[in-house]
Amino acid sequence: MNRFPQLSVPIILLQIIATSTLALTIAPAQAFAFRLGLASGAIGVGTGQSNAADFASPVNLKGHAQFASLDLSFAATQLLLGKVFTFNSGAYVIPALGFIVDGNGSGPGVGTSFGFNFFCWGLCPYVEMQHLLGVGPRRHLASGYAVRLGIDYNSQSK
Amino acid sequence: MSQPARASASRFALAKFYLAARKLPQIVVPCICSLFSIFFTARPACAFEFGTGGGFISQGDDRILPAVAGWLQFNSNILISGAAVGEKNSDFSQQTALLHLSYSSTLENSKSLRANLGVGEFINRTRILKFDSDGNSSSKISNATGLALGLHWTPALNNHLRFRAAWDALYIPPGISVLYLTFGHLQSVTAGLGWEF
Repeated sequence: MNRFPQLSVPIILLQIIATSTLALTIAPAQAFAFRLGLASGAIGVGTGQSNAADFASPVNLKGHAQFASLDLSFAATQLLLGKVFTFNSGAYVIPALGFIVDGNGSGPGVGTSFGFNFFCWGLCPYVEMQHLLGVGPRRHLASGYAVRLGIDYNSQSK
Repeated sequence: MSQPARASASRFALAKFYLAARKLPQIVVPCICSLFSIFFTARPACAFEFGTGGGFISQGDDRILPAVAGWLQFNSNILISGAAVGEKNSDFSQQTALLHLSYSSTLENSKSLRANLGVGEFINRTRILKFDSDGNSSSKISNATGLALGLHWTPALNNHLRFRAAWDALYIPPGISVLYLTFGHLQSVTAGLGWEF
């Protein structure tokens, strides 16, 4: 049962990204640098924190597309565009602006992702913690978070 | 003192020691992490910055509490920061504090944008102001340790004065026995002025 029927459009977008990620994984290396990924885990967005991790739930999924240092992330909880800052260790930080979806009211907001890539070999598994702040209708202030495990395709990784 | 009374006192002391010992890891673990961070990442040349400001602590949707904040940064990389709030209603009073000990690093070529990773402590004291039949009021102190992550913007205003806007989050795991990716979550957004020397 879909607990969030109003989120069907983001879920369709996620399915498109998931299909694209799988297709690019088996495609030859690209000439331009980009990353595409999919992650899932636990989210807390005004629907009763804390929520247990559920990797099968489409509500917990997040897809992202990264071109150069710009990262666009889609999820049932957010639509964010951010700048990627990386460290040599594989850690990264993405401050982002966009739209925050929250159980008590959605609106514009900001998010910061702290992640770590490990064992990259074409595909990069990663763990990511993300906190969100958004402003909704009637002076509602959304304060959410997400913790996800994911995998992404890096066009420049060997 | 009679023999049974001495035995009872001894058992009471033992129980008190046991209760105190159970809370020991909550104090010892952050201390060990602190010492590790300081001794293994500190550089010989010391530079200090301290500052204070204000902002809010968010304990969830629409649970925003105004807070005072302070920080101490040394060796450019070790940051001790905190935010505290107190509220008093007709039936209860509550004090909440978030303390973070973090390794702070600039983001790529940016001179003022910093990311922090460390340990954090959540301390909360709640006192119910209603009195029971014995005339006592109840109070409870709870604390929890978690992972601290933060994003700070720290532009220099002149040689010694530095502005700091901080967005910190504390992720508190529910316990070692639960391996879900489930966390308690608190955020603080603060801003203030710091003096470095």
